[in-house]
Amino acid sequence: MSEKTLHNPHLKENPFKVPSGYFQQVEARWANGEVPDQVRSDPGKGRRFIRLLRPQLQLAAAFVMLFGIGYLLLLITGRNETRQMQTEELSVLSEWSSLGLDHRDVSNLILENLFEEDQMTPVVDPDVEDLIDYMDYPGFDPVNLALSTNNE
Amino acid sequence: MVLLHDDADDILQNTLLKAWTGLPSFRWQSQLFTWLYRIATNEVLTFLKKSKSLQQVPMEDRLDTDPQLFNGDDMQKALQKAILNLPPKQRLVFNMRYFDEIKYEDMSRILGTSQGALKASYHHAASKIQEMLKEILL
Repeated sequence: MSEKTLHNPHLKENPFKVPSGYFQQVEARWANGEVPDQVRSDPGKGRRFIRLLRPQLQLAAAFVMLFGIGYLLLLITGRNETRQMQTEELSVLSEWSSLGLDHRDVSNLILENLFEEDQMTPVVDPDVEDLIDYMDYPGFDPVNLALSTNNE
Repeated sequence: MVLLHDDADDILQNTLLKAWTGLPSFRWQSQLFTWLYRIATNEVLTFLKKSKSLQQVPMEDRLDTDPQLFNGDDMQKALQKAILNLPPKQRLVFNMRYFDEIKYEDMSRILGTSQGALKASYHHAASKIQEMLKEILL
């Protein structure tokens, strides 16, 4: 046998045959909707829906994860702040109680302080000269103004 | 690639089914022929992998016993028996090149393998077949 056996064109001819009407039967079988077992038991088919939705599911999962992380962070920092405020309040209250004060005394104290602050604001009568300077605009005539008004 | 007509039927039906369901995702960046061929070759390789353990009668024996199947002479029978003894991927490469005369460039797109590897695979398969033909026909 020579090395050129495969170059023989006769070998390239199709030696296989099919029974008569075979392809017509195939078409008929397919037309009847007969599905081979291999297709029916294809494990990939059941997951097709999930495969289609996979990108959307991944996106949704990413959003949920981000929101979850954000919520957890807020929850943790919020708790810390509340705890800090509670601790501060408790320390202030304990300080007041050591001085023999309760919340009424404290509120009175605050109100009094505010009142005192208001009282402490000085009420000063404006100087007449300053007033005239303030009202000195073009066409201002203090004499006519005094005559035309009923001010005493 | 497969000898039995029923097996070929199943593979063809699976191929067409997958092509039909996968057609919306086909991006038309490659040729339709290449895409269909790729699905078919994947189906064939999957089928051969699955049926390897289930085969009770060796395929090459069917060439002798099934008159409905084979119509060739002794030389053609020897060649087919030699081809059946190749590993599936090598058999695929040999059939595509030898019988279908597909260009290496197209084969590379279909099989996702480099042209160099395909050429090497084909020449390796051809030399193996030559050796087997010697043994069978002598």
